[in-house]
Amino acid sequence: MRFTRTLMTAATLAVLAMILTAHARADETADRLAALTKTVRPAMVNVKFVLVRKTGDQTRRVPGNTRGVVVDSKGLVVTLGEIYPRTADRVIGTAAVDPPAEIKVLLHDEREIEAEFVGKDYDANLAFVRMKTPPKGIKPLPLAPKGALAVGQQVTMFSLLPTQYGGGAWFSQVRISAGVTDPREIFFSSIQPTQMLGGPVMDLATGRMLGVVAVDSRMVRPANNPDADPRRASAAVIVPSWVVAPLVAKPPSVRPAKQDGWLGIGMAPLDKDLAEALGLPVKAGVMVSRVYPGTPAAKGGLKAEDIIAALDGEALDVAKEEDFIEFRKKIVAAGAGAKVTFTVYRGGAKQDVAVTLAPTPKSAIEAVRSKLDDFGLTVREIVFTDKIAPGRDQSLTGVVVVKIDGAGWAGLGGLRPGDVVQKLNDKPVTNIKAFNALIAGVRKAKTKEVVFLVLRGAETAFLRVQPQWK
Amino acid sequence: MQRTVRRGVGCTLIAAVLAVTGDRPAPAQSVDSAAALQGAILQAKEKVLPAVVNIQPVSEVYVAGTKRKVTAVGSGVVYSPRGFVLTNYHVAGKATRLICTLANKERVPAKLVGGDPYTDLAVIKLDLDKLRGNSLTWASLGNSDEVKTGEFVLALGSPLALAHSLSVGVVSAKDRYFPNARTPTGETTGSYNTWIQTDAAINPGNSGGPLVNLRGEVIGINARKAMFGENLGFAIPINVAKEVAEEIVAKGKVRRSWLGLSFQPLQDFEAYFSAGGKTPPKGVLVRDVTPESPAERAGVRTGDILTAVNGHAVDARFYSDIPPIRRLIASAPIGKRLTITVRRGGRETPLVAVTEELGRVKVTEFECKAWGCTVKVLAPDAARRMGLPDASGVLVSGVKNDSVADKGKLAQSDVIVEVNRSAVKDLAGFQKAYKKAVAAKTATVLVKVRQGGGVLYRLLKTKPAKPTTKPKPRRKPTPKPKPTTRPAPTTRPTTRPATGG
Repeated sequence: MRFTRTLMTAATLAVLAMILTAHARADETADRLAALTKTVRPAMVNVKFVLVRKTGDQTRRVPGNTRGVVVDSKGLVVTLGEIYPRTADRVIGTAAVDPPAEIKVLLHDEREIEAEFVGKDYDANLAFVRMKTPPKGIKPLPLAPKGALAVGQQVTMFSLLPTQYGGGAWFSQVRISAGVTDPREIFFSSIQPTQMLGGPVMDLATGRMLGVVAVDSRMVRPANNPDADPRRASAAVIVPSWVVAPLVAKPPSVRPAKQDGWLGIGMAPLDKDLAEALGLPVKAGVMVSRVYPGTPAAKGGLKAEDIIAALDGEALDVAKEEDFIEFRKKIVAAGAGAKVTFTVYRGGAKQDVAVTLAPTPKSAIEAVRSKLDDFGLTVREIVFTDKIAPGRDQSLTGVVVVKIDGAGWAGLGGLRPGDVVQKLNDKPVTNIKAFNALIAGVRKAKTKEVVFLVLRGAETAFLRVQPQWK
Repeated sequence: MQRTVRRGVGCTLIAAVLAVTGDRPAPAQSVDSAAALQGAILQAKEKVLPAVVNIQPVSEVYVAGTKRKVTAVGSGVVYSPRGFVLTNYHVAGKATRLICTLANKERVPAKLVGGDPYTDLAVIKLDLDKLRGNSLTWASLGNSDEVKTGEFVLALGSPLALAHSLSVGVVSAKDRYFPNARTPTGETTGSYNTWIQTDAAINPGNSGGPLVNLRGEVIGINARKAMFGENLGFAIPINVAKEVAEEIVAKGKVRRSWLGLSFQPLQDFEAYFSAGGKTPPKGVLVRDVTPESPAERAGVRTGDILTAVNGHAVDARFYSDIPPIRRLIASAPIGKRLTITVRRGGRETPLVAVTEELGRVKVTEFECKAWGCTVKVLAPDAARRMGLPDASGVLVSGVKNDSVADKGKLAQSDVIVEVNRSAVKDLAGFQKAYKKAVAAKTATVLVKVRQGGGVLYRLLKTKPAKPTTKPKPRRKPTPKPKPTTRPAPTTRPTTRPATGG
């Protein structure tokens, strides 16, 4: 009896001890999380910026806001690639817009520090800005070494509360669901990404940054879109710290848009089966499907059906369409004005073709526009892609209608988006400057009717617009 | 007494109420009018309904890379004692077999004489030898120029396969103009005719049937209805049908002259093109001149006003005025000189063009069963629209899902210009090259295509050829040694049996 009582007392005490220990452990974890939050918050910043797009005499300012993490003591901040979008044009490749301006880094203590754009790494889809006057006391987060992230591992992701709640940090503990290594190393977690984007992923045990939550360009459509919209990503992607570290050590630099190299061809991949069927000695390469007139490729003497096997002596590993992006990157990186040599197979014979690359031509999005509020009409200048459309050629002149108010003067006259205005009251519209001058004349004279000659599809048509001058 | 008075007052009141609210006896004139109309409808029906034919065409269509036989229901009208039937091109124009049911329910086979997609008309001929009883009724064709908006008309045909039905309405409008209209089978139509609009019920199945006036004359061939909206049916005027039918019966086809001009009416542009003159110009505005066309070679330019064709004055103030001008040009002799007078900058100038033949729509399409795709002739104007340097090659019209062609990334609208390094100029050339490639039974076929202004190669991986040599016989397994005190080690065969492939 006495023995039983003693046994029961001991058991009770043991259970109590277990409970107290568990509580103690839980308290310890909570304390560590709280401490980590305090450490991480000062390194987390908001990045405000403005994208300035100049088109002729119009300037469009598009403000933006993203998040970032301070990664060195000199004020370098890693942030999302969306801060420097490029317009993707399937025909041209990519056409860059100007880097972001008026960058301000908003710190945890509400200080705003001016910053400058440093550069963007397209593979990781991360960009870097540097605070012009790095504040004192901001400690960058230490980066974890290679291999610190693994599938199944529990990590702590940090984000910022909205400003109405004080903008403090908040965290979420998640597990790494998957990791890939090809073509670059990234990890996945199933958490909804939009809240955590641009925030650090931390190791509670070591207090080191394991990575940054970002958007991989392959997670959104179209694939390989360098302007991948973070809101469309279906899962959080973590760029590991060992990918970020070399970029911190040597940040990418901005390449001014004008210096991008451009060739001017349509391409098709050459896989080994097709190469064999064509009797070629190479197993991969770029088949030139089209050489656009007036382009560096045309001037250099490239022809349709040429097989480009090497660029400046380096064999091209292009066997499928996805491989084009690497080839394009090389051309872009070579830069406008660069002379490149292609090793080409033509009609069974091998030869070298030297081409001097040109700057990427303007895309339709960057075309100079003219908005005529009175006519209810917006037009833009003709760009390269207009001249290579079916049935068109290099001699195409005029301005392209981009927007019509159906009940406006031009809409009632029958103009439609896509029409190419070639003449106004029988005077040729050679370019947008000429168009603006003709419209100015019409406005001055308060002309009662304006007859447009437009190219619609493959045929021209006359349209009469009756302005209602006040 | 009081009761009698009350009765009398009541009766008077009742009579008064009845007089106000009850049915009034109709005046004799209204009944006569209604009866006359009824009688006219019945008389017209008696004249034409016996000539109405229910047509069940069996056609070959090419859909999604395969050739299929489909059947449908349409209508037609016998207009000749020789058994010729007018119908729509989209009913019978591609038929390989025609089963006709007459109004007396007798079935008669028919043959396609010819069709004209530009006006969506076709002529078929009943096999009179197979006509039971040898009695045939034919309708008389009226004059569509005399049709008046508001006049009563009957639409006869087989709406939703309900053969020999009749609906009644009026002519809602004459001269409806639908440029760039398409037949239900996809051909461009409506350039050489306007349409008679009617609210007589026209439904799928009515196509090809007659639109009839109260004199029992066919004034139109029912052809289409508006997708949205009700009671909006359209018929091809019989005067156009008469011309087309005559040419089809005589020559099997309709040939038209072509100059390469696109027109616009002068409405809204009179002041602009009057060149300061007080009299508004008459003619039709040239809005586009096709490059390398007879008109361009003759010197016609965009902005010219065409005023006469071979001395015949033309005038188009409205869109519905344009089809007769196009018909005038189309009826000119092909390959001969045509004087076209244009007004430019206030001066009239005669120009001389040599007409060419308008490209006829070639229905020839071909199924490449081994590859799972269909190809068709590439028309010159289609080649021009696609920005191609010329019309050589064949156009891929359909690709079957998961087929050899599909896996080889051959796509609709590709233009095949080479097969296994042999140039393909036209459909006949392609068929030859295709058959040769199939007969060769090679594992791959190299196809060169023009696509999107560029040139691409497609490698079609066809099924590998069957082995021509007999497979080697299997080796007999080595017999197991009898067990001794210690079993001997087993050995594996050193060579594998040959595999096919």
